[in-house]
Amino acid sequence: MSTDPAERLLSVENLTVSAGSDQLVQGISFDLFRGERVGLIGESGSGKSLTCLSVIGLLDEGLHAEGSITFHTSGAAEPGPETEPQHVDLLNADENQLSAIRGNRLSMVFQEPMTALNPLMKVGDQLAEVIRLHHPKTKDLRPRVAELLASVQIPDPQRTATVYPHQMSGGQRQRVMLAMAMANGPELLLADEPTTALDVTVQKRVLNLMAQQVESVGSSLLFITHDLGVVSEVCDRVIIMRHGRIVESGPIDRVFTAPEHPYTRSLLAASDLETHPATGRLLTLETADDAHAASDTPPDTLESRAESVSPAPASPAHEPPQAAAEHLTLPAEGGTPVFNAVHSPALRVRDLTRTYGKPGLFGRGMVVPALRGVSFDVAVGQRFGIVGESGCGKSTLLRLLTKLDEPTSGQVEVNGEPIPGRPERQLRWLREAMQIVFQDPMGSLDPRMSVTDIIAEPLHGASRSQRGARVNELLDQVGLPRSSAEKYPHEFSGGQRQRIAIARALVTRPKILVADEAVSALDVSVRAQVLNLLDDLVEEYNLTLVFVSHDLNVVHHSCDVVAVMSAGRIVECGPAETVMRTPAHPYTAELVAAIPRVREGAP
Amino acid sequence: MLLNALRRLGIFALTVVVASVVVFFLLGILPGDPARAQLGLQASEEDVQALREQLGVDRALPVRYLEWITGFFTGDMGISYASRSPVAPQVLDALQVTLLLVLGGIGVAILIALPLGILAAVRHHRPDGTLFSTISQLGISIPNFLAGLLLIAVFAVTLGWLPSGGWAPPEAGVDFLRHLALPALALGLVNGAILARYTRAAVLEVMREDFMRTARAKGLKPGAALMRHGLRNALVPVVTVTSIEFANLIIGAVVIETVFVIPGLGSTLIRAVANRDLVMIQSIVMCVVILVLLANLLVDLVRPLIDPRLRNAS
Repeated sequence: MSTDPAERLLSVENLTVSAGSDQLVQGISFDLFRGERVGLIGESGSGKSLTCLSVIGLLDEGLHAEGSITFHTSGAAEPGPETEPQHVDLLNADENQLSAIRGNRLSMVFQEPMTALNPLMKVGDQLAEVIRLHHPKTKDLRPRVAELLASVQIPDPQRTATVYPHQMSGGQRQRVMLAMAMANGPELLLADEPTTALDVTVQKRVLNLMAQQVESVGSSLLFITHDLGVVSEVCDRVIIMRHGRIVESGPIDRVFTAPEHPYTRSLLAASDLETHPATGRLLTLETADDAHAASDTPPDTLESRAESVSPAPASPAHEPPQAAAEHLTLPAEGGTPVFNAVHSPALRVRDLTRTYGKPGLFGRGMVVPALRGVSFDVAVGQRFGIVGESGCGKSTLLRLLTKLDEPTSGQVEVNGEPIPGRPERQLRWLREAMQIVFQDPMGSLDPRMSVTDIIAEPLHGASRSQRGARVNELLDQVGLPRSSAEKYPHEFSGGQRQRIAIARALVTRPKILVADEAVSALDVSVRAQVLNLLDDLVEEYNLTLVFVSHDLNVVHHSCDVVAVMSAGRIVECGPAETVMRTPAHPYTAELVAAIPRVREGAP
Repeated sequence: MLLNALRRLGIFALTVVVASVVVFFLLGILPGDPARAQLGLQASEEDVQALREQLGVDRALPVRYLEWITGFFTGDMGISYASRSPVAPQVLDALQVTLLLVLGGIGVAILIALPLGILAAVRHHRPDGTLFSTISQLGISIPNFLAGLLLIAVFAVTLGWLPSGGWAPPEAGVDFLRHLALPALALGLVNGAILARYTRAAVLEVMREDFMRTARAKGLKPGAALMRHGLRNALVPVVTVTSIEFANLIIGAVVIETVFVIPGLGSTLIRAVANRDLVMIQSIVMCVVILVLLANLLVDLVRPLIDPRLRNAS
């Protein structure tokens, strides 16, 4: 190391974290220097969060950390003129030493802003607590609290100090967490997926704020994330972890432009939704290296290697089944246009509104318009994407399309048949023609049903052998071994469970498949595999796909046409490529700009 | 907040009215004639009829209901069929006794449940935590009349420290406390054990919450984090369960009063049932119903004070 050792702030040596006999982190070592901003990157199960929790000494019960973590703090908890640098062994320090450091020299922002604040305590009091804890002599904390809230751009800080966490949005809560972590000017800030639960536009603002705060206080940052795009916004060095080991580390520019380890390469490819130059399929962990080799190999040698379930055409872009959709935006005034209008569509939606709540006595009740007049068509065989942030009405729209809810007004037609107002017993055909894949692959599968029972449940009147045959066929199609049939959901990983959910959705041979954030809970490398699978199956089953997501990037890849929603309306709709490249509505432009990019120029 | 409280009060009043109808008509359709029960099978039909008219039981049920319910809320609960004396003073005396007993029982239950439950949760992975859990499990499985008998055997018969039964009014001071101690303990022990289980579960749950980890990350030691952030959060479910337990305690009091020969609602009720004293039974059952509803109302009003998320947005 060329850097002066005195500048070292944190040394992790041979850290192992184990649960019983399982080693979840396997002897990793790294240093973090004063003023440095390091990104610790990995997918779920890589051990990145455990590493972070070991540093602050808050591992869950049953987890055991070994090795050494030394924190080279510049001084004691109390700022004084003569503070000697100390070297604290964080793994062996006693509770007194640790609690003097935590929240003071070393602080942390957690992933889930909705639950990380005490719901019964005013926000200002929670902020004041961390200051008083480490500076007990401070008299009136109110001005300081207001100042801190203002520094994280919370509007009207004096008033906000007196509200409870549930009265704030997720982004605001995360800012309060940030203010709390920065209150005592820590030397090291640990941030564990701090923006993963936030909308992209909010994420962008919180990230900027975090970078700015760390800068102004002069802290170092250890930023834990699975998202390579996010890391490139805030960090100057990255450490890539996989299966409890460090696979690569180095300056972000070098690692992201010239990755040395194959895993880093594939992770980058999967994050960017890079496609194989020959097949047009998304690169996965298995195929990424092939693709890099392919850049200088003639494509014909690759044909044999391209994994595919169906004889997919080797064209990189999907042929839109019809003439390219019209690119329209919501006019500032006047009525809402019909987006993506086509003849005899698979799905026709007109002036759809949904209002929640009741006017109440004396008109004092709360009325929330979730959908404010939405009109669009989805052509047969089209891949229609719906993008928007939380609260934009996309979930409400989806519930109406699938008739899990009734609209306040407006019409939904599936294959020309009106849906709203019909009793469930007349909609058997709809339940077969239209299937949904949900976001949470754990929650949407009954844990007490075997995979066979889950997949074959909608097959009424089929014999045992027919059911078995269909289940086997579907397992083959979604790329799961036939031996999965007798297993239960908890025996599978997130990606595998989503494959089961897709198989379940396809068992009735539906015409329309609705995917509700179907890849949002998955790791990027798994995400690529599942998206590839969806591509194949849409082709094989001639599906009309309605793909709902918060991620414009994913929709751009998987859909022909994309509709952008905001505040209960479609604000822009057009061919995915056009909307992404030349967004016409300001909101879409903001959304596109907020997508964290791994490398400049990446899609 | 105020609007919410008013709404709760309205619901409470409505529930009381519905409950009174149910109580009255359920008891009204019971077979058996109070006049015949009093005069015996040998009495002539004329005498029975005369007594029916005197008691007013010959009139239509709705008429009798209205008369009873208006009387009930104006302090005139009618004349006992059995003793021919006004019901109200007897019921109110008994009510006071039972209320004191139940409050004593709740006090004991909370004093047992909170420390036991919190310790069992905090030390759940250590032997002593398991011991606390076992104690509360054991406590649940003891019926409270048995607890009462055991307490009498130990503290009254063997040690002779406390009286084995009877009652003294609160004005009696120390004597009142001496009479209250054993029955309140018998009532509170079992319910305290149940409440301890809930407290343990609530504290365990809270200790896993993200904000507890935030508290530790701020620099609070585990104990301080639990005291400042954990307990109040754990209190919300515990308070709710306590109000449900309150109903159990009143039922338990009926049994305990018999064991300790205490002139409360329980013993009065049992006597009234034996005498087919419908007026008395109605009034006592109605008092119990109102007590339970009041406890629920109290909890509904208290919970928003603990948890701001339950307050109205307005």
